[in-house]
Amino acid sequence: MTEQSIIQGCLQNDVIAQRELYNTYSPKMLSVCYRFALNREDAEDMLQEGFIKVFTQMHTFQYKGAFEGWIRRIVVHTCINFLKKYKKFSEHIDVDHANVVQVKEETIPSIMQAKQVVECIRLLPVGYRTVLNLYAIEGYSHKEVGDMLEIGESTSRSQYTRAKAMLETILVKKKIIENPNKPAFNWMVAFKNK
Amino acid sequence: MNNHDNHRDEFEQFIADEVNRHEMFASDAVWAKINKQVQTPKSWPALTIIAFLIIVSLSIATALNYPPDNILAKIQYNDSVIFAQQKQQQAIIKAASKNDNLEKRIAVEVITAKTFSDIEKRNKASVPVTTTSSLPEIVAKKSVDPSIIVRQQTTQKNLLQQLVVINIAKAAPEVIIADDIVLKKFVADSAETKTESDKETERATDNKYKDFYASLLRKKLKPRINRWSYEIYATPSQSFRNLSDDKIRDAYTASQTTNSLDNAVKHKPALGLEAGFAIMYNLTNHLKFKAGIQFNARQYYIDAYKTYGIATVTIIQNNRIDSLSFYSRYGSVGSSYAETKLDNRLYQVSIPLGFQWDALQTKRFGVSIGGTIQPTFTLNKNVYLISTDYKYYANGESFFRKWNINTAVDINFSYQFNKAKLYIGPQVRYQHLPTYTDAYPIKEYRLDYGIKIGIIKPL
Repeated sequence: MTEQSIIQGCLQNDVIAQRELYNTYSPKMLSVCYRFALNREDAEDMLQEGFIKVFTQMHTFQYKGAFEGWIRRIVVHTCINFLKKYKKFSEHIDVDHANVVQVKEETIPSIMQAKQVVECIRLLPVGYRTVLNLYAIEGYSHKEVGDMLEIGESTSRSQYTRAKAMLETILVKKKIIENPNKPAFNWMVAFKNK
Repeated sequence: MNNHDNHRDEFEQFIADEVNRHEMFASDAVWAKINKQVQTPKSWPALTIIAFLIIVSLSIATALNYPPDNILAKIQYNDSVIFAQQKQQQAIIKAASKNDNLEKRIAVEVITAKTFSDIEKRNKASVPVTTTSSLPEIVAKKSVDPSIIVRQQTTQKNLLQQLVVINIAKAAPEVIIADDIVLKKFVADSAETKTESDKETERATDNKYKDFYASLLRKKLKPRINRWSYEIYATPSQSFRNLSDDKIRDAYTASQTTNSLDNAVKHKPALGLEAGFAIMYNLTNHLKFKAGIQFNARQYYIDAYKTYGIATVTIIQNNRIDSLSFYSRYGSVGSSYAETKLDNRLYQVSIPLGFQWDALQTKRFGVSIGGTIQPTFTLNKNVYLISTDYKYYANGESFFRKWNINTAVDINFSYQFNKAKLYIGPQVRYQHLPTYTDAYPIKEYRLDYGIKIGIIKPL
């Protein structure tokens, strides 16, 4: 089914079109929810709420921009509302927390890398994780993030800086990225020592 | 949004790229909940229609039975007599009340304390009461209006015991109570004093009361007819199904389904059960209307093979061909795989509405034919449907039709046992709409053959 026919079908409350839309976009949207949620159950609840909104508000889609982007915005807002509703968004933690996060050092096969990056993001405290998700991945500005989370723009900036540093530390420990502060290997020094 | 996308540094870009590659698959329950919530408001308002039909049926039944002609017959014989006496007294009071004369108005056959108090109130003085063994002068001279001569009777028998005369000839009324001796003489005298018109009036009144008593007795003797009864039944049944495929999709695609549906699908009937309760109303001596509620468990088995594949369902919508793919663990072909048995079991609730005709009825035995239309709601949806290429079985939840219409026809052989009627007989139940929605091209119609066993008792 084409995107156009799916939209038309959904507007007519056609269950086949709705199922097709769900099959197409739910894997990516569940990944979005999973990055915001504390666990998989919460993520599925967010996904469920998000898709119900998508189906019931389909008539508001005005073909401006990508259809997936429209769905994604609804799902992201649903996630934020879910966290606010269940008060799961009140956690603040210092960047030093990253040093005590239990991360096992290992080499990740590239095929698993996307999953591992997501899991590393989920190791961040909820507040940091949410700001990082919204700013670095979903592309919202700090002002928009501040408005969504009802925090100041400067708070969003500082939280993002800390979240980024913490994530970097975790990714280095996981050997997903190289340590940017590690000095380059000096062949001359190595030769002299011999 | 996305105004930050163009200003990502290398680290942010790396994170965004990796994260956007990530996908996860939700459990089936998520879609089930979404579908339920999104589709529910537009579901067919069957409950409303059923409730409306029941209300209309009950209203018609009530209208046919109104006014209840056995209501007087419910009164016991003694009550009937008392009721008649009260009616008689009320009629006299009503007639007397048309006259302004207080004494005439109180000329009831029972003199009570209120009689005297009313007279006292009117005259603002106590009424002198005299007891005498001789006939009062005013009566002896027949100078008193007979209408103000009132008789007091006992509650045991309609025998006159005392004569009470209220003498209105005096300025202040006087009450004279005579004993039995005077009474006999008075009765004889008053009979003489009666004019022909008085006697005619009395005869007419007597006849009127005789008719009234007779009508009461007739109603009492009329047998009480109870039109309501209830029925409890159970029907063990075997569920069969009929599959048909119009293959209209073959006109839209080069890859046509070549194998036969009957060869691909191997289903076996299985035992099911229907159990229910109904209220019956006798429209005539032989025809009953009935409405009730029924629980159904119906199932059949499908022989399948354990394998993995993509079950494709091709659908035609708006003159275009579309297809949906489902992950499947069961195939219809593949003898090299392990065999398994799929159980398509449905739990349903129905509202049977219909008629029963007593074709033959003797004192003990009878034969009746019944038919009901059953709006049916299916409680579960975990059924398997075959892909349109007939190769795999997939979860049929997406296409399932929750509301359906069934018809049941039965012949019952009954035996009257005390007030209850026990019966047994064959029943056929047919599902009118396909199990799946119109989008699914392969139509399934279910058919149940069963033995109905039940009991009917009057309410």
